[in-house]
Amino acid sequence: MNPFYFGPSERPLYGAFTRGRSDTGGSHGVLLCYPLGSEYMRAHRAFRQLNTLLNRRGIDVLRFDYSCTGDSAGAGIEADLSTWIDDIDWAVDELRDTALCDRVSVLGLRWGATLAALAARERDDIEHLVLWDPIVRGPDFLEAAIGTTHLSGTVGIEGFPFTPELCAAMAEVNLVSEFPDPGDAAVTVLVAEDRDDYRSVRDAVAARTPSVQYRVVPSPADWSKADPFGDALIPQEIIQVAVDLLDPSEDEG
Amino acid sequence: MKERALTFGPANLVGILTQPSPDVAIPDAPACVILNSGILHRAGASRIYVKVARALAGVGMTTLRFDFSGIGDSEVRRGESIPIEERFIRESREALDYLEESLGVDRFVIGGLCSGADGAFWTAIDDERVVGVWQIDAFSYHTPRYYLHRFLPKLFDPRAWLHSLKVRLKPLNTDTSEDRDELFAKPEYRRIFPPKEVVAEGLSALADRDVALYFLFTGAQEYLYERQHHEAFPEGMKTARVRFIPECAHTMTELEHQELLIADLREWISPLGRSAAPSRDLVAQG
Repeated sequence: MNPFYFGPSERPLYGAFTRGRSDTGGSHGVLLCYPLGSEYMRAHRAFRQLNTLLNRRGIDVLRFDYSCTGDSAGAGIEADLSTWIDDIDWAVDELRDTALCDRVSVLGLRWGATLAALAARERDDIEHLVLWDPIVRGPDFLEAAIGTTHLSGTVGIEGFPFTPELCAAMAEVNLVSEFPDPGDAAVTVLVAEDRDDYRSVRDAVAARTPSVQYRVVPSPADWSKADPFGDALIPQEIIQVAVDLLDPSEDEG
Repeated sequence: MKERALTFGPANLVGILTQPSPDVAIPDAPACVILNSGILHRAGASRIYVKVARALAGVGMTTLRFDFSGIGDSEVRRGESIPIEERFIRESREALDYLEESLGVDRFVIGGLCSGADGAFWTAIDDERVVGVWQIDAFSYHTPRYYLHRFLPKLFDPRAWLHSLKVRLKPLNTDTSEDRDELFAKPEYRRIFPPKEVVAEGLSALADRDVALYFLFTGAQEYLYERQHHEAFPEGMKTARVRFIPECAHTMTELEHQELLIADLREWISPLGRSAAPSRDLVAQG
């Protein structure tokens, strides 16, 4: 495992790069995009396990922390949605440079999925975009988390600050009405539960590209649960399917 | 302030070194080492460890936050089966050794939340390079006054009696699911409080070495009043500083509580940066 900082000098991003265990390694790299806030803490271990399984398939993996999150530079109150999208762009480039891979795929969970979809519209070199339990509509997330879509001051959600500016930007997000053009990327909507909003995302993607899959893998998905002791959620079933999706040539399922 | 990702020690533990900018760096200041709480990685619950490290850089001190083996980004240490307390001490000492070898620091402050607090306590007892310990929700023990605080208000409250009855009738947790795949298994830390005498002895040993102590207790612990730790350990707590925030969550989810902790730590730790290390003679006499 190679922990390092990359990206713009004014806001270095923490990354963890691991090379796949393969003689022919370097051909496929996967970027993993975390969820936000307390969900990031809850998902960290699941992402590490996903990372390990992908490495076992010979895939190089980069995990990274967005600006103002985790070990990356910046305070939580400076967090900005458009900067996070830029961060994903930087991370894809970094993965290409570090792994020297021909193919890059991106998997994101919750806000990580939504940000990855928004970042992919700027690129034409993503092979596969996996949207795991994406945040479909920003206002729905905000209503569930803080009971409103508009804030007059910064609030803490399970220990992480959300500013009015960040919430305003989140409130603008709607993957159904405005699913960004994924370019040449195949898109998989990978969800733990069959829901109307997830199916709407599938339909929105299908309007943009024929390369869309909708996979429902019943598994624990309470990412936003407020655990008093900071427990991790590691849904094995859906992680295994994610690995198979990203490496279909060796589908063990 | 500068942050650097690194690996150290025989197990290549992963850490983030946060160093102050040269204009505020205090020469010969102790370095701070922060330990994982449970299975949370080195950013800490609610990212509190990142905030603490950056705040300490602001007062001129270097901090290393790292992941124990099998936690966060650090690999599992294969082929070894040692009690977790021993692993805490061993890997914490590897962090201290790394900082001593790479930066020439020979005095340390060590701290953490929950199991991180436990690890800090055991390491401080074991390693005389430690001159300060901060603990969030450290081992705590009941005192006579604890029982007064706990039961007196409820004695004549019928609702409390009813609640007590419901708690007793609640079914036992019958979840028997097992993580069979080693990859998916979560490291377990079943927090067992040592006998009170052991903690008393440890605190007294630290007091004899003039190790500075800071405690923050949240409402999640069986801790009910500000002086509880002082009364439980009258010998070891003479110079210790305690803050009790009953409404604070164990994972410090309120931003104002995080700010209180950081302000406290900056104030508590600053004199350690200015004071000289206790001489070996004094340590030996203690």
